Amino acid sequence: MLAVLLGLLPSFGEVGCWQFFTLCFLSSPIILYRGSLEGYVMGDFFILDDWSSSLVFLCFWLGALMLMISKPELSGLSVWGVVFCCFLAFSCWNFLWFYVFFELTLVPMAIMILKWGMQPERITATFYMFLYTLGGSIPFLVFLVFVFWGESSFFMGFNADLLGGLGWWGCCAVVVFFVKIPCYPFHLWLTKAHVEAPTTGSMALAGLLLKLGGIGLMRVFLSFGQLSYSVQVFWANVGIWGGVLSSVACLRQVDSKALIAYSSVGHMCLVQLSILSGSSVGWLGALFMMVAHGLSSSGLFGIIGEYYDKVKSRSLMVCSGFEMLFPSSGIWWCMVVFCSMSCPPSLGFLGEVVMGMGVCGSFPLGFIPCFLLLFFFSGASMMVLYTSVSHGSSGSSLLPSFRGVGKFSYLGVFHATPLFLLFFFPGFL
Amino acid sequence: MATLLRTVARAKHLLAVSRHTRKIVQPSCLISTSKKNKEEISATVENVSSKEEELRQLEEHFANQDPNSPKNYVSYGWSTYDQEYDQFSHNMVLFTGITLMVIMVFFLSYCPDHKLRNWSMREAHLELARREKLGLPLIDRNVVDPSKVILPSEEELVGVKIRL
Repeated sequence: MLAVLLGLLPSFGEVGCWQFFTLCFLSSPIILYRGSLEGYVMGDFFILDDWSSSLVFLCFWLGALMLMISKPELSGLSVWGVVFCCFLAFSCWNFLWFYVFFELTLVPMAIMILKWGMQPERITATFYMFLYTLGGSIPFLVFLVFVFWGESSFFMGFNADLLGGLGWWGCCAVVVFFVKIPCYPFHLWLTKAHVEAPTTGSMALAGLLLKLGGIGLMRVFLSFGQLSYSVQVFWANVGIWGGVLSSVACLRQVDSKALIAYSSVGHMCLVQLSILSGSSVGWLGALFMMVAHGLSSSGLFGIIGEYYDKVKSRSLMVCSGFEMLFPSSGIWWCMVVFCSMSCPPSLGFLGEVVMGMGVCGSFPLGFIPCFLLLFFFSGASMMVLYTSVSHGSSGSSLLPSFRGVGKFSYLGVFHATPLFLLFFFPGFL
Repeated sequence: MATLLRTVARAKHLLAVSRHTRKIVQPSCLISTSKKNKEEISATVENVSSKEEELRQLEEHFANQDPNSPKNYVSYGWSTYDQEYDQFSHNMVLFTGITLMVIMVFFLSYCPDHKLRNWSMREAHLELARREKLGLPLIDRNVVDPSKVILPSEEELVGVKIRL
């Protein structure tokens, strides 16, 4: 699988999305079919277990969809770089290499934003992205040095309660993952980066990079945070309230990409809560939600990006009348929005139900009203997005297009179909 | 009646002229036929819309309605200028994204014992049967028999910080 992925590199100029679909097909017997209760260990540093295998498959699938929307000869290498680094980070079993690939994903992302972003503000957005991620990762690097000093290894298989014992230092050590997720106080980089990034970059950010924070939290808490309830409760409190605030902030957005970015913050706060619950049900719900959010947010950014290419504006005042202008693509836009809203029968609904079970079982009852508020506002923000974009008369001078099914529709097809199928067959994850 | 005949004759003349010369001349002769009015022609206005070039181009553009013509090709979205690449990409994306994925899902669905679920159920039933036979509780809070666990003595635990 690694050889196939590396083999795509020499042909980056010609890599189309169908090569990544072929990679999904070829790697599925290894990734999705696991004939063992343990994970598949690849070499000394890589493993495919329950969480990493699903996210690796998501990596390849979204890589194909990112290339579908972009011109391969322009951004093929950047997309390949993001997919390759995320694949290595997801499947890592060694904290040092995980840290390296975790930070390395910033490079192709920065290239995408700086080279293909349109506005001069993209430089500020890239600066924010680097500052937040690198600044948050310094405590984690210090923590890794501390661990290596004590254990003489970066192996992920420990069962220690180091984080709980470190107190506030333990809280700071995991800040980088809350920056990446992103948790509410550390979310500004994401809203700026999403707005300034090209469509492919937004899909990579929402679909893959945010999941690095989730998988990192899982790895760290599995290894060092088994009894760190104090750390978990602290960050859970920050996360639940931050998620509610960001979902409320969605309702006031005028920029369509900023709205989807704030809704991503809300969804990923749910993932953060589930992981911090420490229960197996919570972690299963977090996995479902990460895959569901990766597909639905990527689809939202892809379709709104294509529409932006035609309308030349992200404003919700101008981006209206989508159903009237592109009816054959509009139905899939409707499906993707409903999946993002976690309507049944989508994987997001299953994820929210399972996450609710995990969170309500681990945290105090006071979390339940905030949890319900978060569900409500995340659904309301998606409804605002859908009605603003799809309904009403067109704010631009575009004429209706009835060209049938084409590339524009396939974005929605390939994003929405897995979400519906995985609701009925979640065992594939 | 006379007015009607004159109107029809003028219309026929205009149609004949426009068909041949494509120049629409709209003479507007204000000739009064009233017996009381003896004046001459008061004014003549000619509007010549010389849109020959634009009309000609439009007619040439829409003359060819052949759907197989390269000019009338409707792109699938992969390329607006390279028809072969557009069709190839469309076919390959649909084949790899739909056909191969259906085959993959079919293959995974019929793979034996995905994630060892069936084996886990069998082992669980075997373990339940063993516990029933030995009279042990079906679900025990201790994974390992506590009598087999060797704990450190109190002297060894002096100074060790217990963290919860």
